[in-house]
Amino acid sequence: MRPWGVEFEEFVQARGAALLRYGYVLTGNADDAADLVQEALLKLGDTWQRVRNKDNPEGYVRTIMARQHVSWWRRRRREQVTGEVPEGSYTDGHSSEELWHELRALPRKQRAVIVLRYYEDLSDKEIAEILGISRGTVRSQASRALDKLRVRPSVLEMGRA
Amino acid sequence: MRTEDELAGALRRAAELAPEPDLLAGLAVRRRRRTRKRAQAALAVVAVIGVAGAGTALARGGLGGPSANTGETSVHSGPTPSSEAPVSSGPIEEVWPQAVFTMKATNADNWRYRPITGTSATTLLLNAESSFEKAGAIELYESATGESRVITKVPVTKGLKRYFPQATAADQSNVAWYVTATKDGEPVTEFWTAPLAGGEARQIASFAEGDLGVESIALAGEHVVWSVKEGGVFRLPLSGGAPEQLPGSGGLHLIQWPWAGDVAAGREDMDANQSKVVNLETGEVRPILVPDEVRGLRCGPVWCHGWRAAGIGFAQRVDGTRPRVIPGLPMSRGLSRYPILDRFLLGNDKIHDLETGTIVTYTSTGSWNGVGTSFEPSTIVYWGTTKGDRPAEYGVVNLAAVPPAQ
Repeated sequence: MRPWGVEFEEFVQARGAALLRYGYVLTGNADDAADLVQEALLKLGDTWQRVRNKDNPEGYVRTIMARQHVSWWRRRRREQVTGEVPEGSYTDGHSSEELWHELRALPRKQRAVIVLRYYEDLSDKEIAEILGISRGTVRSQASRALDKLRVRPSVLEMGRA
Repeated sequence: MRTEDELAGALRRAAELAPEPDLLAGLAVRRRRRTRKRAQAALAVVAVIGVAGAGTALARGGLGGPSANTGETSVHSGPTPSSEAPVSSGPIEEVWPQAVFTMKATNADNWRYRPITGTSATTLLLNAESSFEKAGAIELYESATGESRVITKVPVTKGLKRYFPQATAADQSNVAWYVTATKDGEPVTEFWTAPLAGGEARQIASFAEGDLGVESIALAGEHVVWSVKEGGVFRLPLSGGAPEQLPGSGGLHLIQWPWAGDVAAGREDMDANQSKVVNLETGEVRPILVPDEVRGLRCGPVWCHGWRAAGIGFAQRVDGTRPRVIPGLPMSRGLSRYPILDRFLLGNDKIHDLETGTIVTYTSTGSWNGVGTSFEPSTIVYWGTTKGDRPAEYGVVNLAAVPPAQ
């Protein structure tokens, strides 16, 4: 017996890979990514009829993922650090693998802000709403993370929405 | 310093390595478990999170593994282009042995090399860095002899802060690079050149009137040319003078001189399709045939690369001929989204030759690999031969050494 309707299954088939990619950059590891996506889809499945008619299901599920990720970090308080990044050390800045390695070593909160800003292309205002934190916190977390990653913020940094 | 674009690129790159479990099967298991647990007790949530993923989260072994394409066929996104069968494939050491070599990772002063790009089948342009991201010198490495020579020292202008030499370009006569820096907190952009044969670096010009927004650099005979973030290609005589915008270059971004396209490199336009490729020397405009459902299409004068729905890699020629899906290569790495040398696509462990259909594998030992830092798609991919950030040697692939397609 099908626990969900055909439409929901089609949505999972069509958008599952993209959601897993998002989950992967958010959590930094494959197991947590699969967990996060499935938990969020489980919630979406419960409310599919309502969400499908009213909202954009993909946006809805992505928001659930970001929030769930926040609540995990609050609940677990355990970082999956694969490598410490000593300040001022030599790193191969132009290798995206190396940059990813450093991204994964960021504290969860900072990483979430970076992913929402640079992978999801959200404004600081939207990030603040999704994560339930102030816009000032978004900005300070982002700037701390960029500093660690040796990323030069764009000139627009000060005026970010 | 890295750029925000590099950060966005690294995230997109990493996303390709996401697991591909069977979500629906996993969901069914999870749902049954949830129902049971709800019936049992109310403390379900933490336990579910801790346990449920174990049986379903199958991380994929790498790009192009046997299961790498699971799910692609179930995405209903219009007609699927026929996949051209690869002509031959195998380890790069066997297919293109002349393109692989090992070189020392530091120069005579123990400065670390950061490869820029291949300038011929046997020569490599390198930055030698006196400290992190401080280009101390530009050198030319001969892979045939294993020797390198200094082209020029890279000077630092006194009185400027946050002084970062950016991308370096070369042609058969000169090298050129630009620098972003600040003076009293205000942005400064400098252009420099030196003869490829070796000699003193010479400043071409310095601009302190606001941020120029330079995004690229190339050499065009007696001129240095660049494009700016908001579009437009400019040139400046190597002998100095005032920059002028090239006629017909409004809204264009340099790809590889003399070719330019109409999409920016930035993350805002990640999904946008390029619609034309323009030769700034001749004025020739080649419109690009963009198929439905293809996104992020980036084209050189001949080849295009983008992705279809759900991130499946896709390639075709500018005129829409020879379309094909590129399994296991949803997007090319880093910022080099244009086909390298208008011909190759670079994956994590594979290189696709669009011209011949050849797919070769390469194995980067150590714990990372990188591409050259040139603005134009670098012909170089390299890695440390030992783990860690400071290997003694680099393994290098130089795609400029691959013979022309017949």
